[in-house]
Amino acid sequence: MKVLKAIAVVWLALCLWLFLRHSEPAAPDNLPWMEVRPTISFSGDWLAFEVDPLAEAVFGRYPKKETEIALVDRSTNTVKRLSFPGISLHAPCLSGKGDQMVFEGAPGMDFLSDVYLADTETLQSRPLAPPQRKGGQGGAFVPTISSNGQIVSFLSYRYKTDPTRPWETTVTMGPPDRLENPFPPLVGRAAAPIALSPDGKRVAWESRMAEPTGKLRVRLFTASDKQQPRVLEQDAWEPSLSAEQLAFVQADKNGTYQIYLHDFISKQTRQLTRGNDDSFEPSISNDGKTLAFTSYATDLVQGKADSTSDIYLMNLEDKSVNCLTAGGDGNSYNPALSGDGSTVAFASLATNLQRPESLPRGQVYVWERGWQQCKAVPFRAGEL
Amino acid sequence: MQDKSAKKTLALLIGLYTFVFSTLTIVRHQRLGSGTFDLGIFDQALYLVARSDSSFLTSRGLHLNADHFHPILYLLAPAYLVWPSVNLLLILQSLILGLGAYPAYRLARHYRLEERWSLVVAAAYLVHPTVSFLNRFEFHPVCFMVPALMFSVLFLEEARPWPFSLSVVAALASTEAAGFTIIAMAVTALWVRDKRWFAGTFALGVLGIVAAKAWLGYFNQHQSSPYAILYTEYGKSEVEVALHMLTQPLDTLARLSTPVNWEYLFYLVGPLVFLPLLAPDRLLPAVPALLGNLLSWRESQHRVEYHYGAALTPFLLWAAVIGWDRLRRRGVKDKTMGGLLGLACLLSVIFGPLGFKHMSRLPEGATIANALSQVKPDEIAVVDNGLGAHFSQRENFYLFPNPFVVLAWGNTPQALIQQASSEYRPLSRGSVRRGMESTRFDAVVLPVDVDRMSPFPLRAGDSLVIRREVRRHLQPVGPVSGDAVVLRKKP
Repeated sequence: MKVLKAIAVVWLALCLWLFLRHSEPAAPDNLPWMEVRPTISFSGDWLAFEVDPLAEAVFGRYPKKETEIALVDRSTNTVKRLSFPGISLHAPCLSGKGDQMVFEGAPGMDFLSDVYLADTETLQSRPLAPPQRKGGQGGAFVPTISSNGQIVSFLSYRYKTDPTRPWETTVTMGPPDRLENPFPPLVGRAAAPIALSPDGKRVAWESRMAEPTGKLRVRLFTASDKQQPRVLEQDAWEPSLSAEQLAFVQADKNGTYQIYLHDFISKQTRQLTRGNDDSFEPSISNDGKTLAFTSYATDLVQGKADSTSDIYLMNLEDKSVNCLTAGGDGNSYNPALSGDGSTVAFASLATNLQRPESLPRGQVYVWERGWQQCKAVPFRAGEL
Repeated sequence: MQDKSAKKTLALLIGLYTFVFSTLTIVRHQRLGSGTFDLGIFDQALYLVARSDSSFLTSRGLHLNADHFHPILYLLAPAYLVWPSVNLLLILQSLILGLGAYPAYRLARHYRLEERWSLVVAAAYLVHPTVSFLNRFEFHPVCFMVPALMFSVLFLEEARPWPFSLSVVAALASTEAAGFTIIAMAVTALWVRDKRWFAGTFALGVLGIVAAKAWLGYFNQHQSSPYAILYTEYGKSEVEVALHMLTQPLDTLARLSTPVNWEYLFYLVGPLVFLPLLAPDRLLPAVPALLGNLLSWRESQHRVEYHYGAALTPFLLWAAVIGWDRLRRRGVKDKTMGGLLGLACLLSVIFGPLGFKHMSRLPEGATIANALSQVKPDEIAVVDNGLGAHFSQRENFYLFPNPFVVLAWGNTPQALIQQASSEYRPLSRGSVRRGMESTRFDAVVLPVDVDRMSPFPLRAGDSLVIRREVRRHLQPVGPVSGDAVVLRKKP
């Protein structure tokens, strides 16, 4: 008995020692950079993007505090900050005039992710409720607003009749006060940001499905007020809509991601990029004449040798390509092209894009037609 | 049958149970039926405690003490100094749960049931779905609570305050929710024993709640626990939920009356031939945990296949024994009750984890020795959920697709929603590539066969897209053999 007691005492002492060795709170250190997706109005006057208030620059690695949205009026040189206590704001999207902005906030009502509509002058915001919601399910993500500001679309989670399966993703869209899930379940299953045409009459989305055999099925759907949903392309994604065209991404025969353009009038699809590495994240102007995109390719323009991703601007009439971030020492990505095709905003981890200055990683840059180089966007109120 | 030989039989039963369930859970693990959630998490936690200076649980994205209040887990840590193994965890869990049969037997004897019928009660405990499925489902320190509460019930009946207090403390140290169970138990103690027992038990329950709050607050750096969001349909905090139930009882009852909940209740009392319903007073301590399950929107809490019934079993058993006793007083023979309970035990085995339905779902045998040999212990591994518990003994072990994109990671409400409902912000291919470029990792381990893929925490379609994206930029190390492939950066 004494031996057992001694063993128990030693054991408990060991437990206590092991506990005390690990009693300090610890912090993570291996996290990805926050994904920032800027948005820009038709003429490039208004610009909005997510901000991590604790980051050295606009954003840092995975944010430790609630993120905010910086709204920049470039015509009056003012910066406004939109923040909700305890709620992280993401994915802003501006209307063409820049007078309205939709964005995502989480946790919102019922702790789920909500989509909000804001007036950019007054910053008055109101949540746009998805059609269905139940505890833990029914969140809404990555909203888009048409350039004319009349139609809003976002990805939401829809109730599924099988109670043992999670809710499925779907396209929610319509005027802000008459939102609905217009498409049947399997067709309307959206997996990524949804694209709206400038007038809001056409919509495109990527659907991802695992078939019972385990095979992946990716389809690019389009629908309009005149046409029922249909599969435009298999294995295609990241749609961006102009008035009559759709830019999207698809792998070429080598498996490299390239950008393609479908014309709804001629019903023709053509390949726009033929790079030696991935090109993606297309953003097309309202008139369909200009395209901004991200690419890792080193052969789209002469003189690029590094392995970082850059932002390119393509004139779709003559197919000329201009690299906006040449020589950048970090990835540049998520470009947003203004509706008139004159201005591009994007996120970047490069430090040397605003030469000769060296800026901390995690900035949002803007490039305007005629500029020789990009400029970092001030994001703190009073900086402009 | 004499008490001595009955106890030998009981020891044999516990030994057999431990052996069978250890074997079942180890085989299930070896066939890739386990997961990072929860076996890999607790394996990594114990590995860190015993063999590392790091306290950060990379598999969950928080301090190893931050998710739940379970200091009792440290009791297993010294064992990891000697034999750090998932198998050890699974064997110990079976043994810990098996030991609860002893107080169940003694409780039956306390109510003057014959030895053979007391053995049937012990067997009913062992094969009860809440015990057997808890054992089968991964590993969770909440398993300590079952025998701890079982002993506390016994010691309460035997009026032994010090052993009772010790077992209550053990239960409180198993999970942060145990305090509410103990407070409810204090109310039962009022009529089973007296006011002093009530006061002592109540004080222990309150202390447990305060200790758990302080512990979780400290290790979460004063952020609140996200688990309150499981009850958003009724309120945003425990107080709001309680107020809703009190002020709108009919609404609450109407919402609770779902087919899923009725089925859950059937699985709780059916295997005990509905005897617990004859002693509702002894079921009172089970009410907080039962409401916690029934009111939650998390679907897994409404099913016996998980570990959420741990705080229910001891009180179901207690009520069953009292119910038996009450029937006996009304002239029902022990033989009848014993026969019925024995039959129920048989049905519990047939429809439980050892039955055909569940055994036939065991995955085929798997070979991952080659993959295991390719990832060194000090390397940063990003691993599919189904393979996670095989690679969890390292400081840096991530649940795929973390850390490339952050999902079901940390202690935010969003992380909990991502775990429970698979709702998350859409993932782009570009963000995955950028995540792979900006985070440190040495190897990504994925199943070769898509049938063995565990999409969690992703949805199946997203999971396939992200895997395809990862495979485009990484390459296998040497020839792929077996059921897992190790991918590394291209030179």
